Amino acid sequence: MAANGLITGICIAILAGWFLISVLAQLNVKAVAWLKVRDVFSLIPNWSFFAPRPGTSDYHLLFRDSDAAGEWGKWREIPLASRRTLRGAIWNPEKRKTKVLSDVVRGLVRLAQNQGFKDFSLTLPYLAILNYVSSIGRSPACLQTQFMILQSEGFFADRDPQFLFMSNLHNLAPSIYVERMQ
Amino acid sequence: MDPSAVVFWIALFACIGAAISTLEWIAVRDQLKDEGLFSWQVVGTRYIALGTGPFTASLNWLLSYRPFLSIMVLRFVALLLLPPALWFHGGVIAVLLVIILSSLLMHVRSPWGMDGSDQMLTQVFGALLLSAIGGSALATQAALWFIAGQACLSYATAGVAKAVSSYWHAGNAVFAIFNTRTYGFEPIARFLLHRPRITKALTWGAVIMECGFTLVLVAGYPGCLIFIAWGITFHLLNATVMGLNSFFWSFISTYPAVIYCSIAVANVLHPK
Repeated sequence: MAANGLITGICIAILAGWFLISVLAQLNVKAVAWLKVRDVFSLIPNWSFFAPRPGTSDYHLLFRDSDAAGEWGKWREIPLASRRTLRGAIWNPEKRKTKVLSDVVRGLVRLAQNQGFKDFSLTLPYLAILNYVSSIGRSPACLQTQFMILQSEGFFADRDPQFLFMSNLHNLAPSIYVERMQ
Repeated sequence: MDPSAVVFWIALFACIGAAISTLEWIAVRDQLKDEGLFSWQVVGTRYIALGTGPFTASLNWLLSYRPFLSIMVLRFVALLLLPPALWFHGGVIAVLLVIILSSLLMHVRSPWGMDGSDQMLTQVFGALLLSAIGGSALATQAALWFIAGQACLSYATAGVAKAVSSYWHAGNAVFAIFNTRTYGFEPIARFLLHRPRITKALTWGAVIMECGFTLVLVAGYPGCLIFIAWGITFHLLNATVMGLNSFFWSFISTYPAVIYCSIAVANVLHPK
């Protein structure tokens, strides 16, 4: 009986501590911010959905390839948003793909807007986008690739999309595209 | 209300949401390969996966493509098993352990692409696991209060953060969100385009209801059902218009706990 009481007490203490940390995290308390940076399991929630400033722009990820002659092809867009359907309210696997693309693009844009940050090419968002863009099936004649991020104001916009970011030029690994083209 | 029945309904709704979400992951499994968006070759360069010790070696193996896909399948099976396990009172802790461990691994595997619904499911399943380990009525009640508390905290945080934001004060936020391809819907954006009063009403309606949701705890029964009906409508609209399908199940799963706590508070405030 005593052991059961002890286990119950420990479980209640964990729940109470977890809830307290969750509350403090919403208040951006410094000590919890330290914990949150190390919270790789996302046990500490962030509940400030669409606030203080909601995402009111769309980002556009485009890439182009060059051939052996150094000629660059046209920019091609990789969709970051899926078309809304009624079925999507129940079953929406594309959301995972578009959400992660959107998240990494936003992450890279945030880094790019940080004036003190000079080299983006070894950051995780950059590498994730580059890895994805490089793995898209393409002609073996393509030797290099480059991606670009634009920003637009949505369906009804007052202005044209704005340029935000241009990547370096990157060589494509022949083994990858030959394999994927087969 | 019988706390174990409340736990059953929470688990049922959470399992439906998590099962759909898990199947969605399996459906886009190509993105988990090395050349995909969730490439472990890229994500695995984070500090948690670096090193040569047995922990990082195990983690790197578990999160590589095939083992991780097996974990997703195992998670799906565990989600199917949880409601019957609760019903027949057998194997609950083992099943919940599989669900929680797979949730934690999913968060490590995907630093991007997870959202608030995944966070809420972690809170819900975590509380259910602690309740099962505690194995007493007191532990169950604590878990129910924890889940209801997280639901109220989530709405209150989102509401207050909007209420103090100058952007939301402008009253145009709902149109601006619905106008994006990421979270919006073109017909709704077109409808709101020249209707600023409706946009303002929707914007402030969302802020007020989110801020006020915590009042559900003192609303008693059937008063609490007004808040629950708002929540269901709110998440149904978000699923349809914004594509946030997983939020519906994860937040609905907290409502049985919210109703339970609302009734418990009413019993204290107005003893029969």
